[in-house]
Amino acid sequence: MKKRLISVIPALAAILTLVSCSPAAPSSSASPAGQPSGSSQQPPAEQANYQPVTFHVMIRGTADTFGVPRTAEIQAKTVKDRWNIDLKYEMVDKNTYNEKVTAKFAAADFPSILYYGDAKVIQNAIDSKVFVPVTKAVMSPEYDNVDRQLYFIRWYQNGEYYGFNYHSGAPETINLRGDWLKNLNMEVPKNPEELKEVIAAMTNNDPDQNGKNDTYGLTMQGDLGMTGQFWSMFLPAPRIIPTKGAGLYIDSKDNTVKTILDDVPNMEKALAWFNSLYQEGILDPMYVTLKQQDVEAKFVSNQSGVWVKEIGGLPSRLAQIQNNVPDAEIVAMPPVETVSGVTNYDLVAFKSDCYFMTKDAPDVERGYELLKYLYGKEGIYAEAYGEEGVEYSLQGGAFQWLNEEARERSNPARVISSYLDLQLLDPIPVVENAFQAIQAMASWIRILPLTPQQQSPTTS
Amino acid sequence: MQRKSLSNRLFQFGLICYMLLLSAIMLLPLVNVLCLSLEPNYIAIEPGRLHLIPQKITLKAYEDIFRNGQIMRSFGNSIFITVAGSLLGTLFTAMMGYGLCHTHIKGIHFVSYMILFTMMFSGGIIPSYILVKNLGLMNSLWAMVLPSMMSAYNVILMRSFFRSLPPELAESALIDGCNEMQTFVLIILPLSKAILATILLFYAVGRWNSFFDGVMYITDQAKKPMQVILREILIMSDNVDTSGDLDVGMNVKMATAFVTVLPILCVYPFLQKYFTKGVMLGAVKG
Amino acid sequence: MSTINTSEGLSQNTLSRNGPSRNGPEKKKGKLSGFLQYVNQHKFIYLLLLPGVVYFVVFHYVPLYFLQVAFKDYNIFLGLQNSQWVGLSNFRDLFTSKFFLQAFNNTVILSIMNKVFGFPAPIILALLLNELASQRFKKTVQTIIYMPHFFSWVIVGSIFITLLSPQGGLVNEFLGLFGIEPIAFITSKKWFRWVLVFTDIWKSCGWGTIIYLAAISSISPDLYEVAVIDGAGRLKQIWYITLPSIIPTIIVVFVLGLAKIFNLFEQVFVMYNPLVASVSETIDTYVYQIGIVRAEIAFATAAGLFKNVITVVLILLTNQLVKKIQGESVI
Repeated sequence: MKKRLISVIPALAAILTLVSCSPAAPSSSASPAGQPSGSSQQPPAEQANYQPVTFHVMIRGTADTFGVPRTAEIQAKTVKDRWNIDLKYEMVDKNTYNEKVTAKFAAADFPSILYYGDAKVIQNAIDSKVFVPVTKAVMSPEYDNVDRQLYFIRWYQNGEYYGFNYHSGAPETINLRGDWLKNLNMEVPKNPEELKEVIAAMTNNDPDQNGKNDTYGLTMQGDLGMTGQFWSMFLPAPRIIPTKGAGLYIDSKDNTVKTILDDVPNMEKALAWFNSLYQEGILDPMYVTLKQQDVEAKFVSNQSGVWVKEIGGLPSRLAQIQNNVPDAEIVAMPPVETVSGVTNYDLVAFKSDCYFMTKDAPDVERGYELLKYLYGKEGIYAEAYGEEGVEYSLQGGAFQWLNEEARERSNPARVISSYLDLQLLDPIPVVENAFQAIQAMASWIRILPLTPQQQSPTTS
Repeated sequence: MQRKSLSNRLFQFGLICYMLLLSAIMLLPLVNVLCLSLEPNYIAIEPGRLHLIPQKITLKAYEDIFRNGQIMRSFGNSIFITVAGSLLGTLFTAMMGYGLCHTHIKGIHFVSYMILFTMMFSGGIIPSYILVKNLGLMNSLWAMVLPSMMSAYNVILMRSFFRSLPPELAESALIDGCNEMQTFVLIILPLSKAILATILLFYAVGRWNSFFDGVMYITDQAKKPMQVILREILIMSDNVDTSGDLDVGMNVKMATAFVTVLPILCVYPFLQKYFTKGVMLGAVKG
Repeated sequence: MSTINTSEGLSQNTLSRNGPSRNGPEKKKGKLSGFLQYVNQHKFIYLLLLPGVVYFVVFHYVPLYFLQVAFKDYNIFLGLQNSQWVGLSNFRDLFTSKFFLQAFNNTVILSIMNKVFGFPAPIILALLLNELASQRFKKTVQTIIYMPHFFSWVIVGSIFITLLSPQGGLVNEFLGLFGIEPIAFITSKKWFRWVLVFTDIWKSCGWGTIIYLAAISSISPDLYEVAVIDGAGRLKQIWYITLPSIIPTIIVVFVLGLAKIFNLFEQVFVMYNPLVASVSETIDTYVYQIGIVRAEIAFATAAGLFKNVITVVLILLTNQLVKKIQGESVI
């Protein structure tokens, strides 16, 4: 166990870096970005030189796994045409995913590419050479505008990149019911004190104006999941869930790694804040019985006014609320600077979840192309929107859906979440608002020099 | 003949009331599930109250399920798995249960203990996965039938039942000139309808509900059983767009639960008649 | 020459057909031929057992080799062979981990409560069902009460959490009619174990009646006729005829039920919360929680083995007890 922890620390140290000259980490949808390539700029098909080869791609089944129904079909056709790859997706239900991967690993039955997140196992796989480096894919020119040290640093070891990330800088934000704020004549809070006032008003002053005292400003999960953003307002590091994880951060005074659990004064402040919410009756007392979906359910059915969620998940929830309350709005709370100068919002990019290529991949060179396609601009747009001319059209620069089912099932989350600075074809106001709100984050991500062995092949 | 005395009638009345209350309570999840499956998601998701009568009815959740092209094929897969699995299972369980009655024969007692042992110890999913792979069953429907074909619990139940049959039955058969096989097939089995139906039901329900096996052993979409496909539909339902670990459309979730239970609700009444009185009538006398 | 007074009735029958075993000149041929001859004599029975035995050996015994992982520092990529032996250190880690004792206590207490309250419930219900005069009504009720068994705890658990909520849950509203203050069942240490036990009864007793009803249906109606003629009332009939006739079934179900007695995961996992974890965390949920931090597989296997060993002891002891009381063991 000790061995694992030590190897994680330098990675974490490297995580809190931002090379100053690169653009802001959270991609704003307002910044100029390329349109999806309708015509591919690939070299003419060298298919004649490629033998057919089968790639087994194992992915976790969640609602945003495939967007429009034809996603797998479109992607399979493209990779077949370009690289003669037979793409075999294996989608496994998220609740059973880890068990199946474990069984497959134990049986040495490796897929070609898989998505995985268990850091201990991943480290082991890298050490055992089961996962192969994807450095060539990461270093290819398409990613020169991407801050590699931010998005790929998690699995950067010994000069090689191992994980092909798909997460981004779109963080999980503290979100509030904008229409309630309007009804209460209050501004978006900017610090914990203001947040508490807003929560109190949302509990006591009938923010949905239905004459009933049936709302709580804040409710949360019993196991304190998804509350790190609140704790982080007081403590030196992001991603703090005191019951899980170690809450590591770098003390800028002496450049050592510490854990927030030892930071008693600030912990007391955080606890005092929560406790005051509870004592004043503005925190839902039944929170201790709630699971993640219960918290969401309360927010969506007008029973609570504050909810933590990744930006990509906001549009559909807003649509749900608007079924009942057509004027409903969701606004994101701007990030709060923490005592150590870091933002209370964590970058999802630091998760260990990534796509990995295994040693059983039939052809690593084509594997790199496959990764770049599937989790790059084209693959993501195919997933979110489908094929131009079939599911949507861009005639005259205006986006329009051609297929009703595709429109329903479309999932813009990946477009929003991608670090590739992709623009939504079909702009979504709540997302734009959220990105505006978190603009300040960029300046609050700690800058630390990389130690020599952590420097990537090209440093800007 | 029973006299319909006052106390009898009172007792029946009380009993019926009690049973009605019980039935009402037991129906609760079914009604709740049905109601939630018929509501639009933004209503279905409302916490804090029991949904028993839908405020607004929509068939959207069921549409989501049945417009998926794979659902009918997965239904066929599940039917095959259930029928094959429960028939084979019941057959071998009955054979084994009967065989285990003969404890005076050498080795029988040992086998009994061996079976019991398997109820308590299990290697877990990893060696089972490796075994299925090595047997070449991976990604075949038989992987859903064979590994879980028999259960020691059912074997022991079956054996207890056979033991409880009056020995005169077998004896009179043997005297009449039947050999052992004929005794078993022509005399014992027909009298065991109640237990056979019970065990068949247990196996059938087990096979029908099996989800984990389906996820582990089947990769081709075309071969996945219904539970797995339903779960995928659920996950990919458009009602709630999620990322990460969250759950999805409550109404679709409930619709899948209902679709799963429905065939069992339909089949059970037919098997019920084997549990009624009078099966043994005339067996020994006749 | 059949001696058919024991309940091993059937088995004695076949024996009676076979003559005394031969001896004499054939003894020289030795044990092998004697063995083969024996097998041949009883081949029908052995053949009956063969498919089952093959099945259990292949699918249940072969995988048991993996249990050694509990004694190893399992590295999934090196495989079982190449992982190092660590003896009992996984077990030691487990037993000395902070909340293990609590999890063990809770598991034992909940199991006992489940057995004491939960075991008789389907029996009583089956007996009551049997008393219903109207067959159609009985059939309908039967079809309804087994339904909760089919809905997973994820669904049933959330129904109960809603029902038992102190803020508008039906149960508390009902209690309010009698002037009782709302009780927070789900978050109360005092009540929560009872919640678990009674919701489990609710969910499983209907299905549990099936096996008992099947047993009751095998009772010869002659016995009842005789009893009625002798003037026995309803209650006496149940006590002297129905109940004794299904006692063998009851005992078998009881002993077999011991095999899974410590498996308490899904229900607890869905319904518990941090306030009541100290009274409801079971071995299974505990292992799940700490599996996130520890080496999952070896650890979970060690915990499983521990449970299994206790279960084996329990079943063997119970079996001996049953043998003393009934004269015949379940095994």
